[in-house]
Amino acid sequence: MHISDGVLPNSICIGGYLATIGISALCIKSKMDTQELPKIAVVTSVFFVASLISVPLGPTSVHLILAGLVGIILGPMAFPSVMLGLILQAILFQHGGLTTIGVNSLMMGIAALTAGCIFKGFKKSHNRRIIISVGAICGALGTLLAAIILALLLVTAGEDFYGVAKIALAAHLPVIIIETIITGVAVAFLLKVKPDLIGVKLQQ
Amino acid sequence: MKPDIDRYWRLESPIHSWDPRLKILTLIILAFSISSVHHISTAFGCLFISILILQLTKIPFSFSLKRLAAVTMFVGPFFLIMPLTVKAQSGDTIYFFTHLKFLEINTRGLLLAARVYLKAVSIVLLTVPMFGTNRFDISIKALERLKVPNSIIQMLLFSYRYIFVFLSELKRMSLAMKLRKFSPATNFHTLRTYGNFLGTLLVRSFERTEEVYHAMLSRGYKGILKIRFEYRAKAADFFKSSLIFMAIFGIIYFDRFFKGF
Repeated sequence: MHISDGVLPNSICIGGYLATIGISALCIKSKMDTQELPKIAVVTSVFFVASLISVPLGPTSVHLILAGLVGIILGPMAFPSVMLGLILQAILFQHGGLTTIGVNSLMMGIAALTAGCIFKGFKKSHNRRIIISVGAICGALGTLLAAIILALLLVTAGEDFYGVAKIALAAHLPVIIIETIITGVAVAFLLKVKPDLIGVKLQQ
Repeated sequence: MKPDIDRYWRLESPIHSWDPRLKILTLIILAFSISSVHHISTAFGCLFISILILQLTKIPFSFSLKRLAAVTMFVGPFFLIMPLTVKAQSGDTIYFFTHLKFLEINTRGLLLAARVYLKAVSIVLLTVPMFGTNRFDISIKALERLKVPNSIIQMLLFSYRYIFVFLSELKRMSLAMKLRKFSPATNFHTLRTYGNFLGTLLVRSFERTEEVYHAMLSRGYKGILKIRFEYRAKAADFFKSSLIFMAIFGIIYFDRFFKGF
């Protein structure tokens, strides 16, 4: 879910922009390798296109977030990737908003970075099952963190928005289950087909 | 909806001829000033200004109207939730049913939701004059002139290119899935199919784009994408920006000193 314009106070929007610029600059400076450019762009575009896939959920449908999967594949570069995806979504599809690119990047970028950090710790493992389950957990965690940050941001809009924040948090619970399964399946697929894309070296 | 925000870049209008750097900079400041509005009457004024700028571009209004879908999906539920959850303050009008005491409807919540929606719509409508009146690569290169780092610009343009590739891939693969009688539902099978689909999309496109990138490098690509466009701000461009700045001051002044809604 992306926060749209007009909800949050301006100070939070501008603060979000500044924090996003700062974190992106740090990530790019520390890890950027021009050889990685196509990889980052591919993941950014997949992140963008995934937000257009709607998964049926009872009578309604939900969109995929994939913050966890982006973190698993890109590690520290996940933050700038998520930011770029959100910029393109705001410009091309008006998902999210112009003034909220900063806060939305923080929301999904921090979730992606956390998922990436956790996955990195298990990359050395030679056990398929462990890697797949850690991947699934990262998918869940990415969504959960994004939902919590979304609720916290809505709370900054004032006491009147507490109700909206609570309902937004609750609405993400089924999405967490969906993302857990999809991320787990995608990690299992990549492990089978192209393990170096997620930085895993399995012994033959 | 297709991602072609710049479908109408060939039209001619005062907004199209406006220097893209000044246009993006000025309109983003306008967006932030709209986001700072506290009164619903000012929010109406903002909507009027946005529609006025939009009409100046000569882009069909239906094109912009379709772009409000995402905002409406996000803010729409506010109209239901806020009247029920907003804390009652002195001076609020509250309706309740004699049999359902817990269900209180606070009209202030409705007004708050309306204010949020008006502001959101006014800002979203601005994206069309901002990025819809120049070819997309010209707008992105304008960001580079506004001191956005080159690595970000390169990644934006690459990702933009891939989005179209992936969207057609998405269409092709979902057609193939349909032909095999796949119909999405709320079950494990659907989720597994989508997970594998994502994996396939990643692997296939990653291999393809890596080859393209290496081909570009071997032909001397050094991270600079050249386009034929002269970025030059003339007096008329500064005049257009100053008109918008007057509107910005108007919005802020009116919002601060207006007593009422």
